Amino acid sequence: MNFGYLLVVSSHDNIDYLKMAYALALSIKNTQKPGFDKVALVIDDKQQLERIKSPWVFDHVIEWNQEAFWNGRSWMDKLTPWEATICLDVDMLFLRDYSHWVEYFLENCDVYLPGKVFTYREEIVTSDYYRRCFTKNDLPNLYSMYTFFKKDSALAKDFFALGRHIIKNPKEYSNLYFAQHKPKIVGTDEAFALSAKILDIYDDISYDLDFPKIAHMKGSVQNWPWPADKFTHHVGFYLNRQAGLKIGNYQQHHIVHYVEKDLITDEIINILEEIAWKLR
Amino acid sequence: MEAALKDFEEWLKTIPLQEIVYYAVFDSSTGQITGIYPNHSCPETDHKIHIDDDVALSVLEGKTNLNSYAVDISSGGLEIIETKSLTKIDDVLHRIIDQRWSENNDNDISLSADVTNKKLIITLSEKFYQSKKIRWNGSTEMLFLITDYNDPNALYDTISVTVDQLFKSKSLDFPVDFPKEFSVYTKRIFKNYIIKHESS
Repeated sequence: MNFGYLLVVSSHDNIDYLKMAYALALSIKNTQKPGFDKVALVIDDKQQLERIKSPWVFDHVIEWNQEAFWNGRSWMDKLTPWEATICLDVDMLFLRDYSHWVEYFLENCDVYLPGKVFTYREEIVTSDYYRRCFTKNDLPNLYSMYTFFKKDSALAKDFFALGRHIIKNPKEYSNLYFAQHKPKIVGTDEAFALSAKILDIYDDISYDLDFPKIAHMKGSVQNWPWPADKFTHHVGFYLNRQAGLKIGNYQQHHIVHYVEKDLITDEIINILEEIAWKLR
Repeated sequence: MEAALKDFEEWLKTIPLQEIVYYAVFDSSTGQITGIYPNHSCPETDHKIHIDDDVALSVLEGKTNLNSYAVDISSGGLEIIETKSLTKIDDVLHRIIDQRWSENNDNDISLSADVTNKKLIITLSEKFYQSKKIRWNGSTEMLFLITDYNDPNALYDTISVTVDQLFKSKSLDFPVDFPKEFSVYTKRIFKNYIIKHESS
C-alpha cells in the first residue's frame, strides 16, 4: 500500500498558503525516512509553483479549483493520489522522523484523527477557548489538521461523504446539531467531528493513543494565565540552521502547528531548502 | 426652494477656509498626552502644544497609539517624545534581521558585523540628526546580545551603548569574537534594525 501526505492550498490575496505548504513539504523531505516522505499538493493554480525553487518536494501536483480552503480539504479522499494518506494543515512543520506513527496507522486504522493536542511545553490542551462549539454541543474533540485515511475503506467513504454534506449545508446541520453554540463557520474540524458523532464512529477513528503529538500554537490554549491572540507576542519562534526548533526555551520534538500564517519567512525557507539540497 | 439652496451654497463659498492646526493637550505634572484636537475644538487650557499634522493624523487615524507620545517637560522645551510600552516578546527580545532577508530600506539602527576584524559597528540613522521633533532620553541603554544563530537562549557576548553615546558619535565599534554562526538580539527601542555581515 503506497502512503503519502496530502496538502491542499488555495490562492489568497493576503496569505501565502503555497509558501507554508512548501516549508512543510521541505520539512517532511528533511525528516521522514524513504517510503514515508511522499507529498502530494492540491493547488488551484499550478503556475504558482514557478515561484518556488524546489518544486520536486511535491511528488504529485494536482490542479483542482472546484472548491477552496476547508471546502477543498473536505474532498481529500477524492483528491489524494495515495492509497493511504495523511492530510495535513499546511501551517505545520515536521521536526523529526514520525514514520513509526504512520506504520501503526497503516497496520491498524482505516481513519484516524487525533483527539488531543499539546502546548509547546508538551501539556495536553484542555482549554475549549476556540472550541466552545465542541463542548457545548457534545461533539467529539477531533482535530482535522492531521487526518489519516485509507482511500478505499468503507469507513472513510462514509465519514468524508457526510463531512462534505455538512460543510455544504452548514445552516441545516447547525440548527440541528449546534443549537447550544453555533460556530461562525462550519469548517472541517466541526464537520468531521459531527460526521463522527452522527455515524457513531468516534471510538473507531480517534481512540486514545500516545501519538500523533502536535504542538497546537493557538495563543489562548497555551495554559498561560493571560489571553493571547498570537503566541509569538509572548514567546519566540527560533529555528536554527539544522531546522531544530525552540519555542521560547522549549526544544520542540513533535509536529508543530504554528497557526500564524506570516511566520514562514524567506530565511526559514532558505534554511529548509539548504538541508533538503544537501540530503538529495 | 432650489434657488434658496443655491444661495446657501454661494454663501458657503464666501466663508474663508480656516487652516486646521492640531494641538496635543497634556497633563502638566506627568507630560502624558490626554488628547489631540484640531484648533477649532481644542479645549481652553494652558497645557497644550502645537504638533505636526502627520503626528496628529497618525494618532487620529489609529495608526499610532496616543500613549506612544508624551511631552518632555523636564527639558524646558515642549516637544513630542516617543515612548513605548514593551509588551511583546519581539519588543524586548528583537532579532535583528540580516540585510539579506530584509526588504526595509528605512532602518534606524544599522549593525555591521566585521567577522574578520572581530568588531561590531553600530550606526544611528542620519534621519535622527535632521528631526527636531523626536527626542530620546539619552541615558537609555541599548543592549545588543550576540547569541547562537536564531537562539537567544545561548548567549556569547553582550554590548551596551547609550543613545547619547551613539548620537554623539553616529557610529561606534566594539570588539566581538564572533562565533561561526550567530544572531544579534536587542530590546526594540527603535523601530527598525538591520545587520550586515562582512568578512573578507
